[in-house]
This record gives sequence, structure tokens and C-alpha cells, in this order.
Amino acid sequence: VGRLPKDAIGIEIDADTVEGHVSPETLADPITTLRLAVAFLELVDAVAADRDQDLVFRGLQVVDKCTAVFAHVNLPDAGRQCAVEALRYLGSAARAPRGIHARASAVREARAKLPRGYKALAFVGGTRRLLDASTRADGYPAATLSIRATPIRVGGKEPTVTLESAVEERTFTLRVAKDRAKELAKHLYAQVDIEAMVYRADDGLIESGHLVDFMPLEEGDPIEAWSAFVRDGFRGSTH
Amino acid sequence: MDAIDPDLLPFRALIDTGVALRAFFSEEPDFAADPRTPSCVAFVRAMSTSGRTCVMATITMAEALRYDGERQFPRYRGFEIGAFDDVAARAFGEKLSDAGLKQVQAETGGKRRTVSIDALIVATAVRYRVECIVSLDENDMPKVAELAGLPTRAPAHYFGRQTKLL
Repeated sequence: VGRLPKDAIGIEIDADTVEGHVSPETLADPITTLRLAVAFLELVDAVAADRDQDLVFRGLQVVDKCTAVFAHVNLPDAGRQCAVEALRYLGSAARAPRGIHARASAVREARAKLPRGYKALAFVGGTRRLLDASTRADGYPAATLSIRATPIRVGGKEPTVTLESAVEERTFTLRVAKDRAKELAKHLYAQVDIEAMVYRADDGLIESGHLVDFMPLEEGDPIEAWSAFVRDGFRGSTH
Repeated sequence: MDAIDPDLLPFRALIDTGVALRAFFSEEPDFAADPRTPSCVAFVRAMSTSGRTCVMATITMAEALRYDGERQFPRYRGFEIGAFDDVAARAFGEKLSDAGLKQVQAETGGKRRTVSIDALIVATAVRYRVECIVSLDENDMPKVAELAGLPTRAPAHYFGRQTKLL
């Protein structure tokens, strides 16, 4: 598979070593491969449902050069975020929300049954990521994020907020406590200052994280407020 | 006095400490006596009224918090605080090499501490995706910013040329 379409979500089966070769004709266990593909798509679908995303899968492609099985989605950005979140669930020892947990288990089960010497990759928004079904208790290193952003969606059974910011490449989604989600919903499409803990992928994009706090912007003359702030600081120096 | 030309203004700019302090505290005796202060006031006001964004690095803000660290930053549209986070650190590593900064020091005769602080501000500017740095520093800052591919402008750069009416 060369350049991946951005709306492709699916899996690729490859050999673990450079000597190995996998193609649709030589694939050792097509049933497990198809099960893994279905399980992964169902997991992404469950994540989308949890986020109230209207993600629709269409088409199915099985592509030569290793063995790739993928579908297309109607909302590429949302699909990518759901797939990334799905991978986080697969890699996390923490229990996933009801509905997602069972789907993640099915992916792990299918992944474990792949023949020895095979590796599985996930297609996520135009890139491939190792579909590692072994749980990781520690997770990726987290970093603090303190930026101005605009919430464009808040909701879900396990609430999340999707934000856009002039200082981040793409929109990103964070988990948020229910009480804060309610508050944040009052500020949809308005700028707020946020503090969050985030996990970034190798390409620098935010993969996931949780919102620690947010602060709405104030109304009024910003120059006046900033002048008072700076002036008071200097006055303090004379005491 | 000439007026700021809104068409020349950047959409996002990082304002350096000297510009921020003069813009927000122009009546302070030293700033009031500085002929550059009116340009700082005019630039920041024009950015605000034109719906543009001024970013201020947390290092700059430390200057205003030195004597009273308990206060909350004002949070208003058009003015953002730029924190030095992991993304800024990555920008620093990628664009501001030790060799490059030493070269700047050699060229300008700047102190290591000053150049290092400028580098932190420049990395913050890169991270917060500004178009340029607006600074009164004509020595170290322009050269450090150049390492990161960012232009540095004085506030007076944005004064438009007025045509005299007959």
C-alpha cells in the first residue's frame, strides 16, 4: 500500500522480518485477518458512538503489497480521532467504557491469534501505526498544555470536548469531567483558555488527554485590564 | 504623529518584554521619557482594535509578576500568554542550536544570559505560530529570531505613510 487515503480506517498485516512476505494470496490465516479487521472497525465505530460522532463506513478494499483491509469513512478527521482513541484503549490497562471494552477485547483476541511472525498495523488518517494489543500500564509521557482554544463539541457518555486552536495543527479531543463538560457547553464556539494534560503522537499531533481546567475570557477593554495588571506589579516593587 | 496602518499589521505577533511594558505602563517615568514608547502604545492598541492577536511569553509575564505573583493574568480576546511547553522545547531544539546562539553572541557581543532568554522567547514565538516578533531590541533578538526563520520588527515599522492633504 503506497500513500494511504486520509479517509481509510483499517488494518494491514505484514511480516515481522524483512525476509518475510505477506500478500493476499499467501496470507496464512485469512479468517483471523478478517476478524481483526472487523473487530478494529467495530471498535472505532464504538468509540465514534461514545463520542456521538456520525461516523459512517463505506466501501471495502483488500489491497496487495502485504495485506491491507480497510474501509472509508465519511468524516476523515473524526475518523482519525476515533481510531487514535481506539488505539489508546487497546494500549491502556485502564478499563474502557462499557461497549468499547468488549470491542477492544475482541481486537486483542484476534490480534493474539495472528500467526507467529506476523505484525498488525492500523490505518489512521493516512498513516500507519503499530496495532499493539498488549496493554501498557504506564502509557505515553504526558505533557501540560496551556493555550487558548475554542470548544466546538462537548458530549458523550464518557464526556469529551473537541477543541480547535490557532496554535495546534488540527482539532483535538480531550476527556473532561461531567461537571466541567456542562460548564464548557455554555462556551461552545467561544474562545477559552484551557489547561490540559495531553499525549502527542510522533508527528506532534495531540492524540488524547484530559482537560484539567478552563477559564472563559473576560469582557471589556483588554488594554485597560493589562495596563492595570502591569502597573500594579510595578507598584508592588516600591513596597 | 503618524498612525499605524492596519493593513500592515500581522495577524499574530509576539510582543517582546520592552514593547509590552511600554504599551501597558507608558506613564512610568522612564518609559514616558523614552521616545519609542508612543509607538509601542499605538501598535498594541491598533492590534487590539483590528482584531489581531498579541502573544506574550510567560518569561515576559514574569517581569510583571515579580513583586506580586498571586495575581491572575487578565484573559481577554486578542491577548494570549505563550507558555514554554514541550512543543516550544522541541522548536528550541530544532531551530536554535547551541552553535547558532554562540555565533549570535560572538556577532553582537551579547551576554549569554540575554541571548538565552531571547532564545526562549523566540522558541515560544515559533510554538505559538506568530508571524513575527515585535521588539525594540535591535541587537540580539533579530539575530536569534532569524535563526528560527522569524522576522523581528520595531513597533514603528507599522506606521503608515500619510499623504498630506493639499
